[in-house]
Amino acid sequence: MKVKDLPLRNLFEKLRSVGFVLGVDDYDLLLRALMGGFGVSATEPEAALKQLCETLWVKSEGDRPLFNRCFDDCISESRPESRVITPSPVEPSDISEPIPSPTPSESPDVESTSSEPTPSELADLESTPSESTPLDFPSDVTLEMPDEVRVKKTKERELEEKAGALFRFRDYLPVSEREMKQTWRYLRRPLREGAATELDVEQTVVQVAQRGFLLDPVLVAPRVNRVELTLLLDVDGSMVAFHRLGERLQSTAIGGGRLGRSHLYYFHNCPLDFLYHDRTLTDYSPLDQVLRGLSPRHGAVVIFSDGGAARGGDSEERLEMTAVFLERLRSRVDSVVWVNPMPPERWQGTTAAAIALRVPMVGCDRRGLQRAMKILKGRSLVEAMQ
Amino acid sequence: MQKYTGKVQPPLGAEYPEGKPIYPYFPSAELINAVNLAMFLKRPLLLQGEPGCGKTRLAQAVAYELQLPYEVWTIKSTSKAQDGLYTYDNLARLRDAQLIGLNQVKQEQEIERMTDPESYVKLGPLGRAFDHREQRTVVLIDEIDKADIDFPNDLLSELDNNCFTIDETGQEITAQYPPIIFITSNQERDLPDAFLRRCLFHYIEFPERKDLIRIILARHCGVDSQSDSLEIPSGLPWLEKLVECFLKMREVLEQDKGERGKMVSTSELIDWFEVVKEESLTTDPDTIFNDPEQQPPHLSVLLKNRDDHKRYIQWFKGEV
Repeated sequence: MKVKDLPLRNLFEKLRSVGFVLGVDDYDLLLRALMGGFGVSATEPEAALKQLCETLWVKSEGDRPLFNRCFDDCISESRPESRVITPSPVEPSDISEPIPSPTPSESPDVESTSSEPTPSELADLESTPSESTPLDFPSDVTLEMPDEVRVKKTKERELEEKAGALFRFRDYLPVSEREMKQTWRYLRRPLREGAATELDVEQTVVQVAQRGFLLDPVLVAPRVNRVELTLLLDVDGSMVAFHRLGERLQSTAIGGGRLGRSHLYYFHNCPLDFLYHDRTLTDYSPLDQVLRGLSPRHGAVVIFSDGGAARGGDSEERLEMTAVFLERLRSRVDSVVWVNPMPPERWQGTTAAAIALRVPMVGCDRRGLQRAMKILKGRSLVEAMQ
Repeated sequence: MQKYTGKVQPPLGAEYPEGKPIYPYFPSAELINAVNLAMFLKRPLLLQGEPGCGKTRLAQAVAYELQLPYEVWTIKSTSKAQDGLYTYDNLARLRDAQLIGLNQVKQEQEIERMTDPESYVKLGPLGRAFDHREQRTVVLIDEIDKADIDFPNDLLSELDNNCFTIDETGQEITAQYPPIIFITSNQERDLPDAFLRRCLFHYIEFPERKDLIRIILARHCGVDSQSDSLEIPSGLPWLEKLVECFLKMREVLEQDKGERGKMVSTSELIDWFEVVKEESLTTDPDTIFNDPEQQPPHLSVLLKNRDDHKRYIQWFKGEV
């Protein structure tokens, strides 16, 4: 069996469709490796090929199970038992055909050498999941799938039903982990702080020029990111459906962000006099103590709660309690944003809409989170919307 | 093209010129493949795996077998991408300029050196590897996830093009022999996608029972490259029990903490072995690990916090 008979391209497309970030380069790499004699074995052709693809295309331990499934689907099933891959390195002519040539617009090229993703990259990202996304998996299977598939599935469902049943799905996910991570990277306030250890060449030269000789070098403090994120997660009740989303928010902030410090507290419905350290709401700290611990200068607070929008209805009591809490919070920290896992069109007529008048509130999709970061960096909601 | 086989091992007691011991290394077949693939495609190989599974030692082993120069770049939280390429001693240059200005330097040669901007460049580990004119250099970038989140992205173009420019002098250094780069990560932080795309990836599994015994034996009595058999010397009747006990401990801790917590690692096993071996010189070796009622000796070498200790003792006494 020649390489061109192998459904390598199928495998490549399939991996892309389930969210692997692969481009033409990566396909090319596989071909180069095959031509170099890698991934071929007389005794275990399939295992050798699998290992090669895995080394080249799988970039984390977590992606391996999904890769295995795709590989088994594409390669193992397509290969009749009697045929064996030729163990010799392949002729270049054999490989010219299957190179996929996605047009630039659909290429999942999210790479960049700059520190922050540019808007065009983000736009690219939006179109990343390829059109052939398999949306017919049952919920249980999609739970294990990469977020891109689940995000897409969630979006399709939204289009389909618009109405209530949406949030019953266990794999509800309006934003992918990758998107979340990228968004968190915007949250930074680099400040020069701490002991002066970096040499400021320019200022030193200026000083030498003024004095005529070098007395001592001018030092400045190194630039550090000092955002101290405090995440307040609403749990239980109507928030049960969003627990996974909340966990994501937290894990991506810590793993993907560039924070000075971060804290996590739980509450139910509205923080009253206590904030809890655990999901079961047993171990707590008094609210005053937590507030005192917030740094007015570096602190940024994200509240993750539906604000009553999931259940619907307008609760005067909840609004009042929330307003009191927000006032106390803001007397300490300016940067506060409310992330609502329910989409904005469902806030209307609920307590959430009334809360949104008191604190900048955003949805939990990619655009919402991007706005949240802008707000935490000091913009107003109106500015952030632009 | 040179290929890494994983078969060439240093003799017992081998040392580097600077006096550090070289130990044998036993890579899996998959790992050997990944190394060769990375060398062939000239891409960095990103290694993950739990602490103590041998991520860091691989690079050294490859350099030893292929007789290549070896550079380590250990990343700290304050490391900057440029440090690996070069640093520029601005301060010395300012000082020297002043000395010349004050006519303090008389020697012609000295003045020449001081007025040459290139004298203040100091290449870093990656810079030296790029600059090597005779052969490829093995570079280990150790614990890349410790640095700032921008760090990996700042290295992209250098790794892509195998060259870099020294801004202060305008000098461009292009690698004639692209280095063989190994990068280790402890998954403390997620690496950016753009960076991951340029790397090959391999997850090193924790060694199995027989591999652990092999590793210890190789350190203790050297490697017989001819045979694969694991003959345990008569002086160490307790070795198998020690490894058994170690693996059981991992199991107990894993049940408790899941895969996230700190596990006992190979390097701790080796320490434990050394301590027990030391003890066996003065006691009857047959009595060690022989009393099922007796706690294994020197647990403090393995269990580094109170919870782990408590947990293990509870399990040992059959309370869990």
